[in-house]
Amino acid sequence: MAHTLEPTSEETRVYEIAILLPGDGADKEKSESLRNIAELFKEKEVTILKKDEWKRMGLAYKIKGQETGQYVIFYVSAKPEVLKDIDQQLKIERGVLRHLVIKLPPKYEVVDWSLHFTAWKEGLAKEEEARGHDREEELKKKIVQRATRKVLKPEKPAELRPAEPGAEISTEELSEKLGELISDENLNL
Amino acid sequence: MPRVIHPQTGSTTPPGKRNCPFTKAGVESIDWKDYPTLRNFTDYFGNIKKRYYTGVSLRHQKMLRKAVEHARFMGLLPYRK
Repeated sequence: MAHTLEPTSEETRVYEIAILLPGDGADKEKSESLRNIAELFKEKEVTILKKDEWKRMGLAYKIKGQETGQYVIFYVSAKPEVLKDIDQQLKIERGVLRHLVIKLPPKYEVVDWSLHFTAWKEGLAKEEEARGHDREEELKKKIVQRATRKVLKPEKPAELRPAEPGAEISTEELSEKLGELISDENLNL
Repeated sequence: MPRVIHPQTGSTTPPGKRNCPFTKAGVESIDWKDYPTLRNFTDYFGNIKKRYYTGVSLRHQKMLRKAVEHARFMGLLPYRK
């Protein structure tokens, strides 16, 4: 469902205003801060092209003592002069943890990132499951290999036995040779 | 839905001669909200991986840096783990 955004008139440009609301706050506080933001936009003649509200999610680090937060992303078309005031007003706003106002790159395609995120997480879970299956199969193979090795081990001593008579023969030959050497008449001791 | 892009780390081609995964996918701009992709280009400590190992082109590395900084500010990625 990706599509590009167009400014409403020649004087305006398309911007992205992202807002991070606290996750612990009650629905009343959240709706109040959102209402304040909507009023602010109305005052500054900002038209909202698209509003993207993410689910509540954990933050990478604590912000103002909050461990969870909710992202609300507005794609708006506004005059460039107005942005400075909006930035200042959002800084003052109490219910807002963080805010980000950025100019969108040309040919920017709007994507539902929260959906993308959930799809990606599901994909990860499936991959892990597949990995787990592979590991189990490998373990089974290893167990089978170990069992076959144990069966083969008792045969090894039987293989070693025939080597011993060979050594005896060599000693007999040695004794014969020694006897020949000793009985030699030309030997001078 | 956009594709999740992975770095070239661990490929058989030697580091410094790897091809850019963003150029291959035809990426024009990197979004700070694209957590699955950005996550792959930061290491265990939260630092951005070196271009020498990931194979990212200079043009895309500059975009990536900006995106990661925005994501860190908004609490999507950690500054330091």
